[in-house]
Amino acid sequence: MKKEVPIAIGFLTAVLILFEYFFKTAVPAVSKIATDATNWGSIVSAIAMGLAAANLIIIHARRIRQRHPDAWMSWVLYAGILVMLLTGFAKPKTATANIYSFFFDGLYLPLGTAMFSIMVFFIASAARRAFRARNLDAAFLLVPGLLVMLGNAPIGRLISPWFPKASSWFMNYANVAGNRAIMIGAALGMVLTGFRVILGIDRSYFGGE
Amino acid sequence: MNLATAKVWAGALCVFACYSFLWKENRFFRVFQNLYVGLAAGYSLVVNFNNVRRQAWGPLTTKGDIWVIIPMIFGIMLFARLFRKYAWIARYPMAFLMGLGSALSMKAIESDFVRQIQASLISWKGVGLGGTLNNLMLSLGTALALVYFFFTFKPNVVSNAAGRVGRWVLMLCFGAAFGSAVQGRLSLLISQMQFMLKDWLHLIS
Amino acid sequence: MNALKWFGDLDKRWLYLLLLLVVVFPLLRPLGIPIDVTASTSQFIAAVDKLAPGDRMLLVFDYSIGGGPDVDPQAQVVLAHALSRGVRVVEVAFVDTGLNYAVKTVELWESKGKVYGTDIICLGYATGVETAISAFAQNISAVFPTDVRGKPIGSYPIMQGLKTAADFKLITEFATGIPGPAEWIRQVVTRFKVPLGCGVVAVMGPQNVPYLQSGQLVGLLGGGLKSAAEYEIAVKMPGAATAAMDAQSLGHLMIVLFVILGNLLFLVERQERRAAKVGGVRA
Repeated sequence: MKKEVPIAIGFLTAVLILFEYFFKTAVPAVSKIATDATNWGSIVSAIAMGLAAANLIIIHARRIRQRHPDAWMSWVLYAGILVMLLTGFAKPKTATANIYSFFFDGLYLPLGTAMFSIMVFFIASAARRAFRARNLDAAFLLVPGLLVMLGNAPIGRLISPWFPKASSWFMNYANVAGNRAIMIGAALGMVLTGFRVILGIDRSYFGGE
Repeated sequence: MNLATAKVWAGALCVFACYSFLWKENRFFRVFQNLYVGLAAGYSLVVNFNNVRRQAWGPLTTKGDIWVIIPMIFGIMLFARLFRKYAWIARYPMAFLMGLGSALSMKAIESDFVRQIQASLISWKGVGLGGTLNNLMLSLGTALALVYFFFTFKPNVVSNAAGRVGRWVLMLCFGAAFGSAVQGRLSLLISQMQFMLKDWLHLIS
Repeated sequence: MNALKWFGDLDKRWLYLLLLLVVVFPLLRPLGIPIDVTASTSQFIAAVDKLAPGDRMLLVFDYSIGGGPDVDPQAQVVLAHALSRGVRVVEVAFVDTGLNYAVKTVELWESKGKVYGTDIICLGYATGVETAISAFAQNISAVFPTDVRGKPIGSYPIMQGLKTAADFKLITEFATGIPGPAEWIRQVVTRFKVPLGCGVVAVMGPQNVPYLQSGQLVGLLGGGLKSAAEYEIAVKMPGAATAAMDAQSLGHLMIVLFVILGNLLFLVERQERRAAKVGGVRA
């Protein structure tokens, strides 16, 4: 019951989707059920996001309960969640909507972009010490990287017209050859993993027996 | 101070908070980091609640589509994962999602396997020597890079040499990715500076 | 040698400051370095140019706020280009923060005189990544029975006759991760044979070039902000992306310089280690 029924649900769902994919509208009833099932997946995923948020709240509640030194920061996190929940459903052009707009456009958006933008500073300091051609393989990685960087920037063409040409060659030939091989391998892996899940061999999603 | 100005000043404060981490780890940064996580979680809750209302509750109450009760029940069953004694209940909706996802990902066999192999099977004879070498790179390079990933047959001189060349092809590919990665990260910094100089300090138009 | 060693021992915060100055200077004093339009950007522009006035294009906001500054300029210029040609645009998002960009874009174009529901519409956001894309492609109204403003989508002129993804003349997707071109090709292009053009962050550009080369994509803006600048120049709508290119150039140059100096330092240090070893053996 606890193992067999979930495996059966997974198997039947997959067979339904695959049947619809291969035979399309040959059996209209099956096609309709498969389309509905795919839409249901979207609904279940939306509800699953609530589970992610609940998990986050529980983890931080534990920190507060254990009187962690930085537990007060968990209250900041809770405040963020609460503000969004209280103002996120506001009708447009109301005072509540303005508060939502302040927190979203004034805090959430700039914080997100700023946090990702600091990565380039670490790249700059790593360029000095970590990006070293210690052997032939590393040189094969570093030289195209530098050529692509110079070729992609407009200044590359001013320094030499060969930089954009070299960059274009690396992107359209060497890069395609390597990425294609990775893609082919990954596609095989995806299909095989899919079969393992469908047939119930891979049950890691059970979350512990 | 109007709303637009308040948003710009708040945004500038966020930039200073984040960039203060570059000086050293500090609490100012940590406060804003936690605030960001909270706002993200809250926003996700709001947006997904609206989705459930639109895709499930709406059709149920306005069109009488009772079948949407099934995914709604599945979704609620997922929350059983939070209770150790009843965590097994969450297996049912998880199995549904995994079966769905696995079946949908099977389409990779056509898009990422068949079509990519097709695109690799090109004539080696190109326009001039350059064209021929380029086509060789595309088809032979892909094949040699694939040989590098073969671990299931006994290594011999030919496969070792082919794998070695394949590894070089992969290094060239990763080099191109590295160059692009640096480009992408730099763009984010430039956009941030454009915001600070234009919207906050009004130094550029 | 001493200069190299000094560079190697320099506190990294000085490097951060230098990078900041190198980026800020050309924003304040533009250098005017000319920008070339690459072949992949031209292909994308040609795909949009093929659309006739009245044709419907799907514009997908699949980007998060982390990569938004890199990809949003691409989406904005493609949208401006399409609308200037009389193409009608349907906006959707399969990433939650993409919804914010979609809604703001619609409001912007409404303020410029476009009619909501006739020229442009925002359907909203659907959760589920690839599952949602597949569901949307098979039955648009099942995933979006109402638009972002809560009205049934069938009541809008722009949505008349739109049942599946096959009913769009062109799909343009802008992504910073998953879902991305791979998911759209798997679920939509392979089955419905709709032309798909994608704009991605520069990090994702190289891994999607194979799709362009195999014909599964009709256009790829794979250079992030640079591709947006090329598009702006080509369609004569210069914007923030074009203004950023001088800073991009100097920033790249600086990082390349750091790598070269770092490698020279590595060679010097290796020489010294070898010399010390030989000297030690002889002694």
